[in-house]
Amino acid sequence: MTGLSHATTREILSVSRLKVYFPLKRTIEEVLARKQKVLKAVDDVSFSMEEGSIMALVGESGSGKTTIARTVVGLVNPTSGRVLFRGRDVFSLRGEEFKEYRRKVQMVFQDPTVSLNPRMKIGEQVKYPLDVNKVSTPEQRREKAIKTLEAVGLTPPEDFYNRYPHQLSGGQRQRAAIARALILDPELLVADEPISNIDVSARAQILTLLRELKDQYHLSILYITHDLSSAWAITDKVAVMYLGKIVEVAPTTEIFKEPLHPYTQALMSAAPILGEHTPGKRLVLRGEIPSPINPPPGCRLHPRCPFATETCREREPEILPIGKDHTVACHLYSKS
Amino acid sequence: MRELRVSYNTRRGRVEALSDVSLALNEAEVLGVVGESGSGKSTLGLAIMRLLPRYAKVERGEVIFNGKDILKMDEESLRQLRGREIAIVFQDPYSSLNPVTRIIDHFAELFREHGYNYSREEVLRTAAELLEKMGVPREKVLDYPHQLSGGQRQRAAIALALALNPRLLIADEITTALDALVEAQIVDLLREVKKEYKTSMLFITHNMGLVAQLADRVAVMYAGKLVEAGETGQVIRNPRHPYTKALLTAVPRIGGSRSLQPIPGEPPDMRNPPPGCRFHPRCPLASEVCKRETPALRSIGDRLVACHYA
Repeated sequence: MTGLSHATTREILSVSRLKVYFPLKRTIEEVLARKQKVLKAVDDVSFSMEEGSIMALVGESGSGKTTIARTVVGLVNPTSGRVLFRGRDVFSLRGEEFKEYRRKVQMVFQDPTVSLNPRMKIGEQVKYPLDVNKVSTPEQRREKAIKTLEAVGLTPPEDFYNRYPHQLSGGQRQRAAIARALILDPELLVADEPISNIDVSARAQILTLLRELKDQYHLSILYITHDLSSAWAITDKVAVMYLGKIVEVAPTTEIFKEPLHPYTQALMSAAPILGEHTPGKRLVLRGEIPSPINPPPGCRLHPRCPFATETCREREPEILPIGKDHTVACHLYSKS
Repeated sequence: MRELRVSYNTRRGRVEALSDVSLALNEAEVLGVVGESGSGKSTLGLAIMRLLPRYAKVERGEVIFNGKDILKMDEESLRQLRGREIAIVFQDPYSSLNPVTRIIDHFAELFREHGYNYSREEVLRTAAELLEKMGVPREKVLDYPHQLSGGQRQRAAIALALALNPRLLIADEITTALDALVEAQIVDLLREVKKEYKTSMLFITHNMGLVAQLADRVAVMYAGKLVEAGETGQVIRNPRHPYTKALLTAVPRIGGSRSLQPIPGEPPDMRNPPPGCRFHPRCPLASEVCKRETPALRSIGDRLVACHYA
């Protein structure tokens, strides 16, 4: 284990000017004209994460948040831009070094029913990454799997080791998926909507677990979600995405207290708040998120934004720093 | 709905999905039914519509609508009832929309089935107007379901459900598959429908926040049983059943405390539900009596609660 672990920077992950475009199926005319349309899933996105922190990427479906997650773990290749892990460009790593990166960055998927193999015992699946990487002896691997099952709260672990996924509740399955992601002692965990497919009563359990694991394993967690209340509860920093762009980034308490971007404001005011029978002042956006195949020119939100001006229709907003650690991409805040 | 008991015959044995549930829904009222998967909330909606699968069995109880027991109706009366008197919208709009049928033809079929002799022009006009009211552009009436966005599809399904101005609308998790902003729009739409058409609604969901915004009364279900029911604002401000309380505090409130209060334990195995109070293995108040005796649903003030300690 050399290289990656020796960097001294406090920044664990940095994404810079990342673009991920997917080619679309071509019509005959397009083939003949040698044209290729693309879907710009992630379009020039930059952000960074500090070691030992939990950062949320918040957005609706089609915003590009899952594509970022998949790019960070190396499942998708970027069209351009860089992903830096402890200062090193991930996509320039080759061979053994890239494999080492893959071990250090693990992912938890949305639906544990799909991400777990239904025909394999829980313990065997949790142990599998160790088998693949031929870490230590078979006995030691089994021992480690049992320890990890215990760490994620599947107790007694010997009992859960021999069960199959269908014998577990949704929350327990997600715990098993988290155990599998943890067994290689990763430094960064990418969790893609880990609570959206499980029951309400198990959600707070999983969130608590993530927070405990962060401290216990000194993990950093990139938490992808559309659920604002969970982002409020466990994250240190929030980045809000809309149609492939980050529109606002700020420390969690700040962004919830004072959301600046109209899209962030709309998201916040749409979150159901308990105890209030009639919702207060709400910012309602017109229509729905458009297709990322033909995003609107200028600011991508302008057709839906109540504050849109001529400038918004024509020019893409720059990312403006507002105070410490708070940035927003909106013409409303530019000085001119 | 009185003492409704429904069970499913599965390969691994009998599962009681609804255990003697009694509920009343008044005219022009929205009743929120809150529960997690396995609580029986969807079975409730299906039982009212008599849409339960074949392996389900209504073991006892009655569903009285306008003085008649739906469970005893013949096929013809049922056909009359569905769509005209009671309509249902599901989580997946494709459950109500046929992917190979244009939106307009869904309306045409509904009108024809219920004996309306509308010309093509009349169907077109009526359907387009309804769609527009529900926030779908008129021209979409000639499109196929897949040409609409997810939110529009759900709006179209609602328009179709409301086409014959039914007295009861059952909405089964209709916003669950939608994004947050669209979800809020649909809830706004239902609130307008309630105001304008005075339609009674059974709003089935797992999201207490949505109930708070829409429902007049709320019924909380756990493991096939009704555990608490009452006026929405009061239940949320002052929950009496430990499960309701836990459900409310398990969702972190934005701007509030960032400490999490998860509900311990796992949902019960419905093939073998815990004896006594079904919530007792997860309940902070549980004692010996909870393990032994099933708490009866009692009324305390204007509230119904099934807990030994309420």
